[in-house]
Amino acid sequence: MAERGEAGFGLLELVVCVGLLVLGSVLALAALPALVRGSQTGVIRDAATDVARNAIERARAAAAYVPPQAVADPAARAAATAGHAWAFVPAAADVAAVHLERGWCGGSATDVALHVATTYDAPSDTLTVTVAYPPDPCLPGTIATLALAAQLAPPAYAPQTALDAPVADPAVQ
Amino acid sequence: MSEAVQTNEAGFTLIEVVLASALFAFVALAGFEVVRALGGSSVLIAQRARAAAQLRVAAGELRSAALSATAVWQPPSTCGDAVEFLQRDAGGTSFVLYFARASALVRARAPGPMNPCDPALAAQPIVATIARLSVRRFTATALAAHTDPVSGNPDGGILVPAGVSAVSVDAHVADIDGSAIRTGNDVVEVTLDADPVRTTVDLLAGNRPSAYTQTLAYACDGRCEANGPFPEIRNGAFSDCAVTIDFAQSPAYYVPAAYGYAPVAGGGARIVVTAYSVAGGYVFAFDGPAPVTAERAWPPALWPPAGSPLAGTIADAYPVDYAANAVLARGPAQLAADLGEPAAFAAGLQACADMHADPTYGG
Repeated sequence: MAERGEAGFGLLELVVCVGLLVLGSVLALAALPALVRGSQTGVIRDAATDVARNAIERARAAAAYVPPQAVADPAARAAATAGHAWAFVPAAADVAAVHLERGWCGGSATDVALHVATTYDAPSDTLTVTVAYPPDPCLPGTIATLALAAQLAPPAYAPQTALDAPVADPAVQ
Repeated sequence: MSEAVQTNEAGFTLIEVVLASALFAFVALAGFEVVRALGGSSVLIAQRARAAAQLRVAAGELRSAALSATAVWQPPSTCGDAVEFLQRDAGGTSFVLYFARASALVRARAPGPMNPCDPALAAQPIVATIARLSVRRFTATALAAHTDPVSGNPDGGILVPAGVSAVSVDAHVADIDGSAIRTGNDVVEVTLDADPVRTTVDLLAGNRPSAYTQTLAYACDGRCEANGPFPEIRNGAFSDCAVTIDFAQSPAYYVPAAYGYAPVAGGGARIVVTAYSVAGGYVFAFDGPAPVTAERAWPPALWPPAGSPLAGTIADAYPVDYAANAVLARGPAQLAADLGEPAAFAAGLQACADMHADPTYGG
């Protein structure tokens, strides 16, 4: 007489086993889109970083040269060249976007909004750009932020700026 | 097997085998689909990751090239946009060009400006596949009105337009079309349309020109007006005014030309100057592109003019020191008026007088 252990699986056992396998497969398939999106979260983060770096680069360009009229007066020159308050307002905000060539939640190419806040701190002469971005655009409400801060280089005098530089009268030297 | 076979030893019935086969086939198919999807996704993920990495590298290279560049510009091209960098360092002058060729972003380097449409131009790929390379150039003064390239929203709100100065000067290098390459604080915006993401990079030359002119002004402690009333010294850098006259005290410029006596109470008389002459000059020295010494002199002039009535009273305006029987000097304002010079003339005289009256002045 054969032992029970030698009798093989029963139909019920087989059905349960197959059911578990099917369930696992379905779950794996369902998780695929999220896995794909998750693997590319860095794309949006990199794009947000680009937006911040571009904002800083444009600000550097705009504040590269001190306005000639601001340094015409020798007495006021030191204050004009001490920072970049003549180039920046304290704060501003805008909405940029990143263009993705493939739809993340199904569909075609899409733009993802990035909320940009820029501040200028005159005492430290520092420009800070903060970008709020959705790490996964298919999950509403998830927002991450990154911030880039740049301490600006001293402004230069524009070419052909004429500066009077009072010096001691040679007769008294 | 002498005993009856029990059910468990009898094997599966046909219906059991059929059901099991069907379930197995279903599971096998589902598993195959999962594996296929996973495989396809992994390929796609790898492709996107590779493309994204290439875009990252390209953006980094562009920023790095700009940081060490003297000029960044969009070279003339009839075969699509391109961006070029002029770099000067201890190794000499070199040019780096990024352009699209056969759907790839490529880079070329040469000791001179390059033509992106030259098929013989040796270039190496940076991004394997791009849909489009577009380049725009903004002057600094246009940045306040700049818009985000994707959303189209203004993004220059942090800037004060009146505080932005645009600089664009000749880099003293000719481009392939003979035009002068210019450098300054223009921003070149490069956009790479590629999968999986459109990448935009704003570029600013790291080595920007600054060739301002500094005028060393010996400004008599700021009291002399360099561009004052004297046409010969305009556009010159004032260096010194060499006047050795104390305008306030010296009678040398005021010589009585005519005088008489007026009776006073008690039978006495007092001197009344009826006219005096003024003459003299002073020297200003200037430095600049054409150093010059300007001598300003005036001929003797009689004042008051002939025929003018004289009050002849002690309260009159004539500068007479009755005690010393001498003519008092008049101040610069009066002297300027005497000579018919504008008020600025008097200011210049006063400044020089002050300078020479200053005990700290060694002149």
